[in-house]
Amino acid sequence: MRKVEELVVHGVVFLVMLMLYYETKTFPYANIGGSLGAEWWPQVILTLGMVLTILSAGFEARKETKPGLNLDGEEIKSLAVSVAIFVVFLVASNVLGFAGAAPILMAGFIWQLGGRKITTLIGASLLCSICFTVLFGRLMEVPLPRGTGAIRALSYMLY
Amino acid sequence: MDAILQGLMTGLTPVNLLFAFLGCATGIIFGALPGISSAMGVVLLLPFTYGMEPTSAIILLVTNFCGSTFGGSITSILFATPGTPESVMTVLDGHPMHKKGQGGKALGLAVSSSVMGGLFSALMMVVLCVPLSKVAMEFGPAEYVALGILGVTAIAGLGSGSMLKTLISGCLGLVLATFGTDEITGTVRFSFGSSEFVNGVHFIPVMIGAFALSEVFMQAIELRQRNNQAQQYNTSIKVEFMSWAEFLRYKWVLLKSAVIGMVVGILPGTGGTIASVLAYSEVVRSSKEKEKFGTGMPEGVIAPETANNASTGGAMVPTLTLGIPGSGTTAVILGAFIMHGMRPGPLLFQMQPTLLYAVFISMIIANVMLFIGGIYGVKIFAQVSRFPYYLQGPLILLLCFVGSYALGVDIFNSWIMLVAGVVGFFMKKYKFNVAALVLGLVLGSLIEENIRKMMIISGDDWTVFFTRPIAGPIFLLAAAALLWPQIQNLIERRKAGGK
Repeated sequence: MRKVEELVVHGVVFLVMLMLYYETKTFPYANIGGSLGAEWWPQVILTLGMVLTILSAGFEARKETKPGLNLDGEEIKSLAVSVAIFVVFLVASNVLGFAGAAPILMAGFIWQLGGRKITTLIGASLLCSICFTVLFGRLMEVPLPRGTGAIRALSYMLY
Repeated sequence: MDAILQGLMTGLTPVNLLFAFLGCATGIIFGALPGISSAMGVVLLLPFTYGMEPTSAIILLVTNFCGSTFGGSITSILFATPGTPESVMTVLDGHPMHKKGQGGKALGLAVSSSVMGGLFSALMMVVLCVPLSKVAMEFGPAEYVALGILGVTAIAGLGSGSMLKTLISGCLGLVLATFGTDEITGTVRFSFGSSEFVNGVHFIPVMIGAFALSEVFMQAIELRQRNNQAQQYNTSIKVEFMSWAEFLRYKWVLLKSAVIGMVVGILPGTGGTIASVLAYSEVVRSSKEKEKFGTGMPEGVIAPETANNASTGGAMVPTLTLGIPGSGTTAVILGAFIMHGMRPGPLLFQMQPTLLYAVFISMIIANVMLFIGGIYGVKIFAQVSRFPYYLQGPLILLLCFVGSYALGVDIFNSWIMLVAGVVGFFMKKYKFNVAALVLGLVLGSLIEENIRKMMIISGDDWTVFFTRPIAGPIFLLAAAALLWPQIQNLIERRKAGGK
């Protein structure tokens, strides 16, 4: 199974490179900038990359592998949950701003990484979000998302 | 000689020493915080210099530049989140050292080598400022291509896994570097109909995602498998500086990296990031234990840290002697000179040599102060390592987000970081090489743009790359770097066969 898994991964890498290679064919021709057009370098690298991927796949196919999987269902589930929490945070930061969305990320990942106490979940999430907003947004004047509507207006009072 | 002595006296006045200390300390803090680059740190300090005497103002800004270049390594080592672009390569071996319980050693090596790199370049600048700036002007596209190729040759030696997978990872990085507007023709490449890709893919979100974000994703899985029993790193971090024996062991790594950092720093348009990549490449290339890089090799911390701090002195050369800023940070410092009524360039050396030498002397002082600042800076950030991982992980994610978002005040960079995090996760799982991906991404545009520029200049004559006096030898070195390990293998096999 591990061998099949490796071949599937190589297949995906090859297909991505092939797709990008075809994308280079759509670059518009520009009559400036010398004989090497905008597509020349990506095509060279992608061709090399595809050849290497085929060689590597051949090598993996002949290699003796241990039984089992590199990545099992539980691991994929955990990765999916982590990504989902981060996606929710990124979408929320556009609407709620950094101060509103940071507790979601904090609480989500504290749970995901094994923190189960409600006081820690709520307390640490709020405290860290406030600290980050004050430190980066207010004191360091690092730009942070402000959200939309009333939240945006309110954010100018905070940072 | 008089000017050097006067510069020394100016740099050592109590007021200027105080500003050098303040600049260095704030630089370490700014550098350690993702989202505040060296350039942004100098910009933040600029308003404070309005009412100051020009020499003190420039000393404050330049020492801040030195401090921030080191500061980035603290978060690189402790959290795999580079505080500044210059410290990206430090993650590769610095964080694995921390995971092996050698965080104090990694931080100590980072401080020691940063100080040595910075001191070396500042001292060299005092002596060689004018001739070096003339050599820098001889560098054209062919030389930049040669430097880039030399850096890329190290990809083949990176990591302990499959060499083919490492090379594929390098190719993916080189391709990723071509996303966005082609600077020569103006063609937008790989935009997939989205305006967000017009500016390309910046290496910082990719780097943060592929290293830090994927690490948190991995930890989430590992914690579940160990029933939430976090792996215990050595949390009582005590900075261990480089010992005399280590100095002797790594003297050539230090010297080579300092020279690389200084030379690359002098070249306009390069800076500390490229310097650290090239120094790391060189140390991998010349090592007998190539396969161990990425697993926590001390040389993997020493080389990039020496080079990035050595580049600060180098970067000041074209800025001061020619009025050409080599990087974003030096452009801001150039602006500060103009704001205080001075115009850097050849005339500045004739009109105000004392000021220039005072600046270099302050850089020497700032680098000595890094020893003290480094210990305290590290202690502050090391406190976070004492938290349980379910608190550390989310804090790292917030730092990652701030670092990626602040880069262009654009949430798109954070999405790129997330995608890089997922891709990095799979790359680690299937033993592809994340470091090679980043190396390709950083050096890709440098190589491509300069190949095409040189072809235009030479009228499509490929031989110019190999016949120019500086580019030719660098290409020979790159070829030797690539072929020598294979020849060595062959010789060893024959010897073994003979026995």
